[in-house]
Amino acid sequence: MQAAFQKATIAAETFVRQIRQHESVDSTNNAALASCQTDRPQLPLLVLATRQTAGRGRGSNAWWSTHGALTFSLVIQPADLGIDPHLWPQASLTSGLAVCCAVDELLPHDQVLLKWPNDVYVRNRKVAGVLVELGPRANGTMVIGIGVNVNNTWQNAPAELQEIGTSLQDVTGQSLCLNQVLIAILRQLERQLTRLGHRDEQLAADWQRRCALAGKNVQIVSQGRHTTGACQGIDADGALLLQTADGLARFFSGVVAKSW
Amino acid sequence: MGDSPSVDVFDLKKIRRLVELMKEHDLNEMDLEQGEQRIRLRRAGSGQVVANTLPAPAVSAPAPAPPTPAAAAPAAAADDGRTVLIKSPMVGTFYAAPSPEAASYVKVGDHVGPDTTICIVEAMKVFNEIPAETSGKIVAVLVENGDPVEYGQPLFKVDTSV
Repeated sequence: MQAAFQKATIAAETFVRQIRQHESVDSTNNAALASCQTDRPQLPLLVLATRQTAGRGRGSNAWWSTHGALTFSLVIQPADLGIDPHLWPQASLTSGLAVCCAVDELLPHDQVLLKWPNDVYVRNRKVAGVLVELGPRANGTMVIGIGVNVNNTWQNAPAELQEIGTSLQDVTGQSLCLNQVLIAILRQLERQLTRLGHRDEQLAADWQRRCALAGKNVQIVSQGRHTTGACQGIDADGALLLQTADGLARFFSGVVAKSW
Repeated sequence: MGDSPSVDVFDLKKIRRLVELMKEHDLNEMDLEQGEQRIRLRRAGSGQVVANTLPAPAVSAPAPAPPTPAAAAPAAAADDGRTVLIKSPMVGTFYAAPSPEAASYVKVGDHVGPDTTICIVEAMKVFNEIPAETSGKIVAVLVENGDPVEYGQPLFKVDTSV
């Protein structure tokens, strides 16, 4: 399926000021970061890919990408939204929340949850991922990369991935307009990132309400150390809270290895 | 990626390391805050170190939000006027090098300028390169690679007179 993005509509209905579309890129984040290095695009800049060949997920956990998936990166100037450096990490959760809210509109009968720190889950399967990277320090830009499984049915995915991923088409039983999904997410990104910049105290309540891990036992791995505990949700600073044998621990880093 | 549980921050190993740093660099006083925890180390004339730890809060207590918006890397003048502390602009995990295989951005004895990248602090997969924002010579690295760091925690001591 070809992605027929309507740039004029996107520009009119969202806060995006410039759009660059690539037929095929290794990763929209890489293309966006390159744009930050080489020129001064108008921000927010939207970098779209009809096809992404090597989307970068968390570490080596590459994003399952094929025709019908929505992959894009948004370059923003966090300072323009009032997002100070100490809040930058929270842009990860906030962007995930924005995707949740946008997907909510499309899946009114399903719970759309946020798996700390940057994945979106429906029916216990990953439907979207977020990867926030910082541009060159001198220009203070932030690149928010988002991949959403929209019309790329996971029936064709490798067997080991079918258990962990799904698409909006698989959930709804029908194909969706990528342009509409994109606009819904962009509008939510503007809304939620603005809340972050304004230090909206309810934002943390929204992370907590959406936390896919709350109430589950979670094993988190970092620096080669495994820690297991009962997840108490996400706190106001964005930390994952685990009740361990040694007390309540806050995690700002680490990979959730498993939950049950 | 490093984890950042707010437990065992002021364990004996770290206090011992702080004491060593004080002796090594002839510091008379060190005052560190992390979340709701605070430790003040003072050295008497004989070189003896006295530790005052404020009432140890429950390790579970979530740290309060930073009181003021962070500058990119707030530096604070140390007591002697010649040195400044480069503090962490955010909570997260401290990385001394861009990758596990790479050399540290800076080491003791290196000269830095305001734009010199001195470390990375990572949280929620966001890797933030921290600039020195001051000029001088690194005289102490106060945290170790992979350590959890809090907002405002001193990371480096820089002698600005050289």
